[in-house]
Amino acid sequence: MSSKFKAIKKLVLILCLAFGYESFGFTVTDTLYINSGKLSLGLQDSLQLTVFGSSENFDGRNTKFKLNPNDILDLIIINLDQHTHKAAIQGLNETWETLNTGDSAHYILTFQDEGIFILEDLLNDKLFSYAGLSTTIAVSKRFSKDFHWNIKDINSEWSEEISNNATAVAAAEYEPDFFLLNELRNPGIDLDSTAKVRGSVGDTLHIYISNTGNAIHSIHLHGYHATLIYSSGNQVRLGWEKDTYGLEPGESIILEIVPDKTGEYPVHDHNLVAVTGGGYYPNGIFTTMVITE
Amino acid sequence: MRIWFHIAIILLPFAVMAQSTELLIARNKGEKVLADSQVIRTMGFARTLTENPGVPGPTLVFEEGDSAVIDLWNVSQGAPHTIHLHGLDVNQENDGVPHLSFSVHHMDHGYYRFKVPHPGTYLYHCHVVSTLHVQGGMYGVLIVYPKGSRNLTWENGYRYERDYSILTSEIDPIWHSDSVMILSHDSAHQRVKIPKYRPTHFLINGYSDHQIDQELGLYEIKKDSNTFFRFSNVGFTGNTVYFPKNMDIQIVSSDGRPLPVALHQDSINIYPGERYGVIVKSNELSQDSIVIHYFDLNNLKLLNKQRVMVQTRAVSALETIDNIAILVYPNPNNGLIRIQSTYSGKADLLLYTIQGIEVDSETIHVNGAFEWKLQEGIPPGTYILEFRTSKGLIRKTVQKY
Ligand SMILES: [Cu+2]
Ligand SMILES: [Cu+2]
Repeated sequence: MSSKFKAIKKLVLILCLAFGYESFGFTVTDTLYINSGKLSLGLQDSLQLTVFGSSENFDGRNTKFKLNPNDILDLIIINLDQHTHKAAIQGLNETWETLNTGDSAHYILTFQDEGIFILEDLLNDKLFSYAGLSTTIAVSKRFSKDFHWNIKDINSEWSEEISNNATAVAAAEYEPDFFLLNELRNPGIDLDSTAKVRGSVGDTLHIYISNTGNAIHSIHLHGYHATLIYSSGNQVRLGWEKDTYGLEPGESIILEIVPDKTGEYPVHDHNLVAVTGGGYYPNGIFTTMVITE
Repeated sequence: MRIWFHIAIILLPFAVMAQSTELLIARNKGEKVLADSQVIRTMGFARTLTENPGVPGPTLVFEEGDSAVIDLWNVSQGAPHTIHLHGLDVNQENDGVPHLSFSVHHMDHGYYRFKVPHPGTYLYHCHVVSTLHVQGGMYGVLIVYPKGSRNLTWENGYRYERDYSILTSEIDPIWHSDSVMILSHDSAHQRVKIPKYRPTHFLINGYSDHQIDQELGLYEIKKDSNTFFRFSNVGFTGNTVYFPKNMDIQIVSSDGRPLPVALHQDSINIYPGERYGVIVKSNELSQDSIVIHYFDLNNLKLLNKQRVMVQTRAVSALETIDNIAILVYPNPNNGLIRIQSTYSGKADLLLYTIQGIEVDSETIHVNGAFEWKLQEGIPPGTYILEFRTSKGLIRKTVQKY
């Protein structure tokens, strides 16, 4: 790695202490490392994943971003993986580079409009999306308490085979056995403060949800109906007030909840197979919202 | 004095209705005959001890604003059970998630108390090892009607002739074998092994294939009138519902709330846990069907298709009332209407404008002649009086001056 990158890395390290999350004025600078490794999920489960990590050392987590409209994301992407990747954000006018092992690319990205963008690897029909390589960039001027969920479904054998050998898959036969929220699941997800919804009665809470997996997810809320205030998909649902929202692969939504009562209420995938992990209930997409006075 | 006495009699059933109690008995050894004659073991809810717990369980009906109590009695010799009131947004104590509220053990009763919210279509289901218990059959539809009307989507909403509920789910017979069912007996706090899901039977209201016509029959639509279909998906696959061609389709509500703008579409996707309310109207006599596709959420593979027959008739079966006559007088009137009828029993009285907007309603126990005093403030004009009984309905035009 060049010394230029080392200098940036130091800066990035400071920024990453804030989880790669805060926006610093108008320019957010960060470096993402494409790397692969074994993510331990606890309960003796582990997954071979490839991610946009925050450091050279694989930690199994994709770095997420939250920006304000008109912020600039000064982003370096370094490919430390053995396979070639082409990281890109679809819908953004930019020339995306193909990165061989050891290559890096520097992008100055401006996000004018509100929205949730997905950074993913476009090569081979997004093959590496089956191995976990996709993250989210949320652009929002909303000042409400926000929570961020990057939903994934993983077939553990496919993910290992792709991470190791980039072997093509038969998408029509896809059947995941793990279901993740921010590369975590129930109960580990409770420790992720960016995801765990905590608020008070009368608060305006925003949950940013992206489906970066390959299956459809149907997210059901207990306790409260939520209003859809943003969707990257079908705009017809804007303003709907529902307790269950389906998300197609690649779709992102923002849900607004104003709790009217205290309590601890589950949010979970209502495809109840997705509440399992490695064939065990209830180690999938299941968490709770904790609302106090 | 006499009028007040009548009003008191009329209002009495109303006061009784405001508190509504349902008993559900949770069982672990139901039986279900599938379309291929295969008999599987089920878990489920029944209303009596002698009854086989159906899949789905009984449809629960409440009225907006009621104080409802569901008495869950576990007579299962096995797993604890709960009732989650899906979409009703009840408080944590009554939410039915075992480790956050309470679970009901064998031979115990549990009471779920809640204020009935918005009119609409909801679900209820057990939340103990929910993947297994829901597949086992512990689910049903819960319908909330607006106060005092069974023919309105919600207050000032769409008036309809009649409503139907269409609940979709699937069966993987392997999950109903004793060796899998026994796993569900573990406490909710332990990890439970779940098999791969390979559904082979795709259900509408618990039936598939030839069973549908046999058990559910024709879905009647009265020509030129609104019919309200309530769709719910409690399975683990995606559904696409295709509506009959040449009918006017309006998707008006979802998950117990009106949509800001009704959608005109000839199909809709319904994902697990979602509900949609659809107003169907036909201006020609026809026989057609509603077709439902069941697809794999992981790879969009079409797994199965089922359909229900829909028939448009000139006269709704509801109106073919034999041996009931009513006499409404004086007409025109000043808001005090006298009604003579040969019917006795519970009846709903509805008054609505020519445009179909409900202006007054009352539930009464009819036994001979009676009086209906309309609410104050109803402007003079022409109204439709609807006399709705368990045997059908009769409409009369009335003038108020
Ligand atoms: Cu149960
Ligand atoms: Cu549910």
